[in-house]
Amino acid sequence: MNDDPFAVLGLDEIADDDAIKRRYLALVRAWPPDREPERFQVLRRAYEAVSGERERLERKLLHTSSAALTRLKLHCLATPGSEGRRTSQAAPSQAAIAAVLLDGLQQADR
Amino acid sequence: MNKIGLHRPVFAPSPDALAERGADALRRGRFKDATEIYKQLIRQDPQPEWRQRLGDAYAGRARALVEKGMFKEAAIVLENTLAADGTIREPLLYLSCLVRQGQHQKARRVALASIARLPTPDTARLADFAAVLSLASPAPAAAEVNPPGGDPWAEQNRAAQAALQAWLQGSPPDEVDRLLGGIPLRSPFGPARLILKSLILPPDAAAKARALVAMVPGESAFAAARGAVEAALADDQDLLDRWSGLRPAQQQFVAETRGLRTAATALLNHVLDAERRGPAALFGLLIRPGSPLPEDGLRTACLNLLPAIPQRIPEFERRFGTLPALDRNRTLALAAEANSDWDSVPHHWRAVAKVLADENAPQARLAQAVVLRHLADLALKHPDAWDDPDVPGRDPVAHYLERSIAADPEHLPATLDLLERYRTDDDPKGWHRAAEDAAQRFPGNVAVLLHAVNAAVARNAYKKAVGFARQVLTVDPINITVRDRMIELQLAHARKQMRSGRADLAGKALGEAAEWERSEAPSAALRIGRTLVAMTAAQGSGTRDTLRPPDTLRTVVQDAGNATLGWFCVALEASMMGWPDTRMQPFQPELEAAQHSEPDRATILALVGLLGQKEIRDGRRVIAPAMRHIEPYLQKGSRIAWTPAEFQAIAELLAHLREFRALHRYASEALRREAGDHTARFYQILARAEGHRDRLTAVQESELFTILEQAGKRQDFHLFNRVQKLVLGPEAGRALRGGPRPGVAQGSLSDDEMAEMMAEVTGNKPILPPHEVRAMVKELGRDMAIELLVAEISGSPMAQVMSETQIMQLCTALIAQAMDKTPPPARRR
Repeated sequence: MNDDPFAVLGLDEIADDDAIKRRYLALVRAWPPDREPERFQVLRRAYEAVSGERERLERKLLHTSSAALTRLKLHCLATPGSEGRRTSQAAPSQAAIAAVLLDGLQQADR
Repeated sequence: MNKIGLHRPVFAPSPDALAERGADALRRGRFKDATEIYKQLIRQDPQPEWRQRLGDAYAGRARALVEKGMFKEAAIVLENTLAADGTIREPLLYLSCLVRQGQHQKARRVALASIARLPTPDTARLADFAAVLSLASPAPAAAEVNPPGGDPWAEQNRAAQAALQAWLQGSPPDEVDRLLGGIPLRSPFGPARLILKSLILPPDAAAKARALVAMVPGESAFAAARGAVEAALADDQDLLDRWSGLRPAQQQFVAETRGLRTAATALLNHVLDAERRGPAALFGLLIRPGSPLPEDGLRTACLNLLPAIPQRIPEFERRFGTLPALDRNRTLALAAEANSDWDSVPHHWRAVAKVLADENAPQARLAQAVVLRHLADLALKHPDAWDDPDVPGRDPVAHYLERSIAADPEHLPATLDLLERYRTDDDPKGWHRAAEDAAQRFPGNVAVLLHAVNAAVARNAYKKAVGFARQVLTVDPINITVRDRMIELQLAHARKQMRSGRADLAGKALGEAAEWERSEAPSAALRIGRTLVAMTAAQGSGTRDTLRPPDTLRTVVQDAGNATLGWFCVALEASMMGWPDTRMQPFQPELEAAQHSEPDRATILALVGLLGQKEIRDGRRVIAPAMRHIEPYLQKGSRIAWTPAEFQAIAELLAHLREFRALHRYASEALRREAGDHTARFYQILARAEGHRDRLTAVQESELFTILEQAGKRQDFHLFNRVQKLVLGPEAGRALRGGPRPGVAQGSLSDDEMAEMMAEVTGNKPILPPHEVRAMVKELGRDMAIELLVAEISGSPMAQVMSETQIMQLCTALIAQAMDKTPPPARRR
């Protein structure tokens, strides 16, 4: 898990208090603390690290950020046309299914 | 074993000898030799036991080959164990070899044939394998023969195949779900049902989908499929976190399921690979022109890599244009910090601060304050390396903190840091000014207000201190420490008024002080003070007091419980209030009785506490009349066997009050009790020289240097500091910290040191209580706790007399001692 709070929260470094709060609440809804306590802790730490203007400025000025790099990576994983929304899973090819099943066999007998 | 030798009939050993050699070869893992021996034995006499051993040898040999990655050879060896009923030794191993050779159909047939003939748990494992093989490499319908267990397997297989095909062909989820209903969850195909079900759920049921797929056992042959499906169901950030851990087949599955572009996932893998190789490799990949990634993201990502590779700034500028001054200097500052280049660090950060100051926008001011605080922090952490032409002759920490507060006045931590800095630097003027400003900005903050109280006291501005203390009690009315402090401050203010002949104002001040007195802990000093003020006022007004004040004073002293201490307290208060000796005449019998009473430890320690109060301690001349009564009593107390901490506190107070006769007696008595007591010897020499360095003889100086050296070796920092101050002067230690610290008289301790000693008299505390050390280690880990302690001690007076190595050794020892729960050794002063 990335330790850059902007990257953890999936935010631009220019995000303001409102945007950070909205994003944090959305993530907490998706990963509630009772079900995902460890992940919630990571989110909480990230939120606290950037939830004030001074903290954000300190983070931006005194640290290097991997948030931009994370966004580039996420760009590679973006589903074309989805614009960030979750869509139903498409069926893969028979070959892809077979490959992952057979890969599982090789892993399982180790 | 010589293979040729085995075929020489003339020298052929007996079957028993051969069997023994075969068993030995098996035991030693020499399976090839064992195979040859048992083959020979079987040729002579095909006993079932030797056939069994031969099978063991083949299986062992196959395992050895598999370990070397020779799957084809291992499969051939295992095929030698094929029995008449079609079973084979080590079917799971054989199956693995076949799968790795890509012989999936054959593997599936072997699995099916072996299932019914094996005991559990191998049966379940084989069934798991067979189910995966059946779905990954389904047999042609006509080739499906002899399903194990008869119809159930065939039915489950058919249901799983049908559901999988329906999903692959894009059938509606309901239809797939109906077909999944034909797969029992407890069957070998159960994981397939969970996996397919999770994939057909709508996006808003992601949590349920994740819960379903999590039910697939981690040790199942379906586990890789489970991992791939979990990644496919994850949100983007989660998928990114998982991506590097996915195997190529799983990545392909995720890409197809989520409709990701092959080129994009390939690029992601390149980026991840470059990232693993380091910032230079990653920068090289990202900066290439023609990247399909967004330009602004590429620029920011490259900019954030530059502090690790500042030499590539020109390359960055060729690609993205000239770096603004702020970014350039920030990059160079971070790079310099990473390389511990302390000559460049302040230069670049100051340049960043200047750019931000020139912007003159609210956010730029906050950013400027961040940079200035960072400069203060760096100056604090690296004082030796800090050479800042901007602040010649000034404490750079305080300088940058002040500037940061000017840029961001509402930043409380910086304000408190600055106040603390002034306090520890013995700069009462700066402390007082900064505390007054801070109290206006943070009128509800107790920590700031307490600084204001103490800073005012340090400058003898008791009225102001009272005002700040009153503010604290408005915020925190039950703060016992401040209530007591309030009484002390009002007393100090009243003494001042009394010396100015304003008994009326003194009475008013003490009347206000009485409001803060706690009924459960009445203040004897306050009551004595009020009585003395009342007596003065009565005499001033010429009225005869109906209560007969002398009697009232006696009652007050009697109520205090300890008559000796009470009368000494009266003498002190009278001196502090400027009473002439004649006015104390009516109480001479009581004072003489106190003076001649038998000294006891508790009274003397209480006296030390009383005389140690800053106002009293600093008013040596004012309290001289009282000391005429107290000093003989204190002298008699030298016979008590004091602990080292008690002795140190008493001796230091006597030195401060210049009561050298009493000090000499204490030191001599201590030396009589223990001849080699270096602390006592030091104070004896100090008393003889009456605190003057220039009165030391050459022999005494030489002896003091020996004591200094030995104190250093024993890590007795107080004694070391103390001897150093006498022998080398108060500036000797201060020079190490680079800055003048006015306010500390030659040969005496600072307020902090005195306060610490006073604390030790009452509690004999170690530097840090072991339970706090243990909590710190638990919270931060041993290394971090040591670092923190080092940082704390580096900012304390001890740092004046210790090298960095000594501080590190001390902190390591403190942590080790606390963690071992051994009691700390008595600290010699």
